[in-house]
Amino acid sequence: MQAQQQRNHLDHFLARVERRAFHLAQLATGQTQPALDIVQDAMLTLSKKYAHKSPSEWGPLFHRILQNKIKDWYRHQSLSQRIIDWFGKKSSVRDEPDDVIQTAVDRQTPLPFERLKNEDLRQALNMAIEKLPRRQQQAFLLRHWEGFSVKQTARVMQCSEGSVKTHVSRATQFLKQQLEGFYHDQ
Amino acid sequence: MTSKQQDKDIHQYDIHQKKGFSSEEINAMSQSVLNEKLDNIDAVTLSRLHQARQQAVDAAVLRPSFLQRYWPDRCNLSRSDHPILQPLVLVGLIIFALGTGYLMSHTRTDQLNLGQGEYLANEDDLEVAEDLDFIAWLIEQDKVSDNHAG
Repeated sequence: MQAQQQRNHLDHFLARVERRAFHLAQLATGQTQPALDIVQDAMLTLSKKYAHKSPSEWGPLFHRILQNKIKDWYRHQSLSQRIIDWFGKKSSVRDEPDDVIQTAVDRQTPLPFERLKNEDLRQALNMAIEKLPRRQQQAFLLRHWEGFSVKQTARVMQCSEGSVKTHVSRATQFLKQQLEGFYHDQ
Repeated sequence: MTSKQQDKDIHQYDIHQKKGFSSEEINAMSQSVLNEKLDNIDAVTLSRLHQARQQAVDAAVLRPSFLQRYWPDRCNLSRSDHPILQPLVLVGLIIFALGTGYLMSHTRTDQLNLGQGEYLANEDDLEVAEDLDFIAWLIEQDKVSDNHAG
């Protein structure tokens, strides 16, 4: 009975975080398929190794696993890239176009009420977030999107609190610079 | 006007002088843009995520392993409070494992070196050995008596 309850808690938790996790992974990798694989691996790792822990601990643990999986993906890509370069083939990590059907936006879905009115600004901000260096992007999203504290973010990213503050500050500065031209249009 | 109020005004003035968005505005806009993207995830991806979740829930191990049960984290000792504790436990376990391996390998070597001793463990073999010793003693005695006679 208790096991079933724990499974239900886990299901609710994963349902709550899966979309954000996918989006985080997609932003980090720039691709849909690897992002899905990373999220799937992270979910499995959490359920196999940490499902017995208190649900309040799952959030930071899951994000730590997710970030480690993303790091592993980067390492693997870097290794593959080196091997490909060794054999003289030119290829890019982000050159695979995503499946058009998979990435197509469902126009039937109602957009949130508080969306930004300026479409150009929205796109510019999206692109600026995608352009952020990985660690800065990670810190910024964990702090301002996931709502983690500096301490929690530091634990997830396995770095000092000072580093988190620096990453977030630089990311914010970068986004400000990228959106400077839009300020007067508002 | 209080100094705090002055600082606030200067900060506001700076923002407008910089001709840019404030950090708060950037954060709020980012949140809005990112949340909007969540609602636009396509059905195929959502289905894949749902499948992955089901698989994860089915594979959930709800009982901690033996090591996890007795790992210092279980005793409410966080790594930040006791940074040296977990490495110490790990080193202790490695030394224990190596020590056990060393002892076992030596025990096996000793057993292999027993050689004839293994035969002596059997009662019948003990008698044979005693007989052999007795015969050897007799031969020796014969030799000694021959020498005296010679």
